[in-house]
Amino acid sequence: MTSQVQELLDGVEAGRWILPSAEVPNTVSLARAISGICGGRYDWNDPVADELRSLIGEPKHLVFVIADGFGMNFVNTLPEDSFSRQNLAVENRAVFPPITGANLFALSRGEWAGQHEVIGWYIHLKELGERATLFPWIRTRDGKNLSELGLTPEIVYPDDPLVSQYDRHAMSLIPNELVSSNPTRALHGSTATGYSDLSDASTQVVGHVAEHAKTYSHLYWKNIDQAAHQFGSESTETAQQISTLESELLKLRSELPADVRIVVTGDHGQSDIPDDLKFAIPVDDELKKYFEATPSGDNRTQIFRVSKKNRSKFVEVFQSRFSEHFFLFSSEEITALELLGPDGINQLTAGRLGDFMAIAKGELS
Amino acid sequence: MKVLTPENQRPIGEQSEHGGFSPAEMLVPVVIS
Repeated sequence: MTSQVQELLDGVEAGRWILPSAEVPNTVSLARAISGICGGRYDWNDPVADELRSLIGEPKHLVFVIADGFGMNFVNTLPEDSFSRQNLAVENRAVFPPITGANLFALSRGEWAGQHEVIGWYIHLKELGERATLFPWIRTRDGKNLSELGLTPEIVYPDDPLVSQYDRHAMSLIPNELVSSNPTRALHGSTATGYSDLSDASTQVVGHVAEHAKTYSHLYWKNIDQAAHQFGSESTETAQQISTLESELLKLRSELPADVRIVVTGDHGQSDIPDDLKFAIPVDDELKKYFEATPSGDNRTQIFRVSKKNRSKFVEVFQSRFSEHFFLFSSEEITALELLGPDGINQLTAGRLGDFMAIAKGELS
Repeated sequence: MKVLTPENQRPIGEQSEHGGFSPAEMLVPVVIS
């Protein structure tokens, strides 16, 4: 075992870090539980999904809310009599990396990141030979639309969403500005429909439930994550968005029949980043000579592609500069640690993972 | 908290981030009503 792996495991033991796990409540198992309840696929051997399914029950109408960025760090700041605190059933572990793409696709597919292949905001696509920014659906380098470069959602996200097999009427409410995007199509198939604000979305959910005998209503809301990125997790702006979510959930609950089950989760939490702890690798940096392609991934989980002959030198230089602040794991270590899930890493994910992943260590305790 | 940002990536000026192992990033609620 390398000293880095030992450091990580020691930190986990001390409670400083948390690793993804299929053995405790987790986001993948929640997706599977909901799929089973809604008459969709349920052929996994997943006792945690069975437990979550039992907690939710077998309602004819299920409303599933994903509030982007709504981590336990925010729930813990709410009053004890708030909707989310009063109805908190369990704490889930997010899929690693705890970013929106990896977790939304885990919830859409019922699979870990090693199987659903969405492992960063920026992803190196072999079809392009370079980096793409998938949610805006562009080639990162020049902003060119990926469709104009011959890519389709089926190529980039090859599997089907679980919702396509549900035995009930399904509607996925997505903010108007995102509803027509290719990632939305990949996440929700033909069930996506737009909404203007949270109040509009709630009204559509109430109408959907009233109109059909059995329903699955999904609502995705992005405002908490947006406010936290822009203003910080402890800002008044972020608190205002959390308050809006809470009041809309209370209102929705009061407007829906009692036998309608509402399930709310987040895709990840947030950590504030002081300016003096941000690091850049500038265009003329020494490390760049080792890269085979521009780094991909995300700000706290960077993915590097390094030619074989340069790997030991890259590790040496990177560690000498950043080991205080970042782990640097090889793709083999990522697989062995099951960071992308217990089911291994499929071929497409392996191609996107590259050679190394640098993971921010976070605050020093 | 720390973030590593190569050029041409997401704005380095953002106040909060996620993607690491900390409990603040990894733990999410499941609220059932």
